Amino acid sequence: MKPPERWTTRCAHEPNDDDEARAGRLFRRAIVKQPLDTGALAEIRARLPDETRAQPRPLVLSVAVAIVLFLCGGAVVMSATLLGHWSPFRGAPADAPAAVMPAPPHHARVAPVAEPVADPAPVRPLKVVRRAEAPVEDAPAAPDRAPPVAAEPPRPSAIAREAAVLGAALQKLRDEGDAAGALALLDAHDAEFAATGLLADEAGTTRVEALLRLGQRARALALLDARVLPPSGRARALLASRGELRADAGRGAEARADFDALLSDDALDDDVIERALFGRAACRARAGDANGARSDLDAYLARFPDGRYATRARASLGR
Amino acid sequence: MPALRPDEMPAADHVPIHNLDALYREHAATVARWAAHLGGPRLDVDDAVHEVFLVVGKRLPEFRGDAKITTWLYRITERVVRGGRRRDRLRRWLDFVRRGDVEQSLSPPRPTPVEELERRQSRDTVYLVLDRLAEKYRRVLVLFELEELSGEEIATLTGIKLATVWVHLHRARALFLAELNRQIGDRP
Repeated sequence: MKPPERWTTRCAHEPNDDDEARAGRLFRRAIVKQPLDTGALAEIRARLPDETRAQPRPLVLSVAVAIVLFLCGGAVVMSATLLGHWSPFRGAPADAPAAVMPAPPHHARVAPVAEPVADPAPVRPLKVVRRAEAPVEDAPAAPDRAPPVAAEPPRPSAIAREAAVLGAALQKLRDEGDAAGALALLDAHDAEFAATGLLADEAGTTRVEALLRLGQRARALALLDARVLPPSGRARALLASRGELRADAGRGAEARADFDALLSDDALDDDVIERALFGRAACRARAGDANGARSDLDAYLARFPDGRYATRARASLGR
Repeated sequence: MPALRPDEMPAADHVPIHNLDALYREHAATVARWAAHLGGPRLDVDDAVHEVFLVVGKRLPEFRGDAKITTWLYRITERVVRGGRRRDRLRRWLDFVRRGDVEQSLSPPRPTPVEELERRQSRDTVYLVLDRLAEKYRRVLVLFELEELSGEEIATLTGIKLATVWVHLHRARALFLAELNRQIGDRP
């Protein structure tokens, strides 16, 4: 079968303007030759962990096994409880004497099939019928060193615990508005996972947000100063915050660098670009670059005529 | 456009497959281009590349060389991009992203060089239409027109038969044109 001609090729040498030629022109303009430059690729590589440290299978497996065991255990306990049988929450270890277990209420019990019990000695707790027939007063006392405890569910994996702590901090911060409480949880997170935490970046971001809500701008800025923030992905918002904090702290040149980095790829019309444009205009104005500031404010108003800083931008331009 | 030809695809035994650094050096730019083309303007390409190579790093010990390394990388990229698009759809559904972003960006938002504006508008339009196609059609059209791969290369990367590639391409083109006309017709 002869392969069809590409639309992108056809539109280049055929002057007619049919649907395929139009689609070809669209596709030609949509081709991206090099979406990431060498520097961006190098930054991504730096963020990748060393493959020798990556051990996903044991982690994934252990989480899966833990969940399955936990669910199975829960299901067994629940079904046993519903049937009026043994419950670990009121029972003893398997080899503990029956005497330590409180007798279930009579109405909840099934009349046992007559079965002579020759030995009233300790019986296994799951054999409810036999245990019920054993006279309480005849049973030996429970040994002191064997307290009745339920079988513990498997301990969640480190990543699951870390995610739980971080989730609790986010809930405190965003749902409850309790920034101080969130910081306390983040301190606990750092204490436990400082060395091994896989969510350290997310924790750092949450900490910055909490500090800003508490008005502790200098501490937030110190945290952001210590981070490498590429002007892409999730770091863009942090980079904008850092630029604003640096500008407020009188570090205009550094703030300007952050805003420049964000505006170097302003393909998006989003909140971050809006902040960066206005922030850079403010930096330029403070540095005495009136023309630069005016240019940024003009660009800002053209892109965000109803933006959050539009009134201030118009006032600055004397409109 | 540096299309990936079958003879350029390194056989598994030619690549130091146990070395993430080498794989990254050799293929990161290609993965980025695949991601950009498959994902469109909404996709965060550097996040996608990062995620792809995280997966690669984790699964490298399991790679037995049954498939070519590029095929393996492409499939990981495709899965990552698909996941990214799904998350994006979910985000939009949850209204984290304002509705009509794409439509808004189709109108000139600000004075920019005309060519740049046209390029951006074209890209948005292409993906607006592509996103309405079924995944199997979208994928083949992207690989054929944007990646400029041959049918054989597409068959190798995607694991479908060559004849199926042409069938999918034929249907994808018809659907694309119909949807494109509809979109343009809907536009005021």
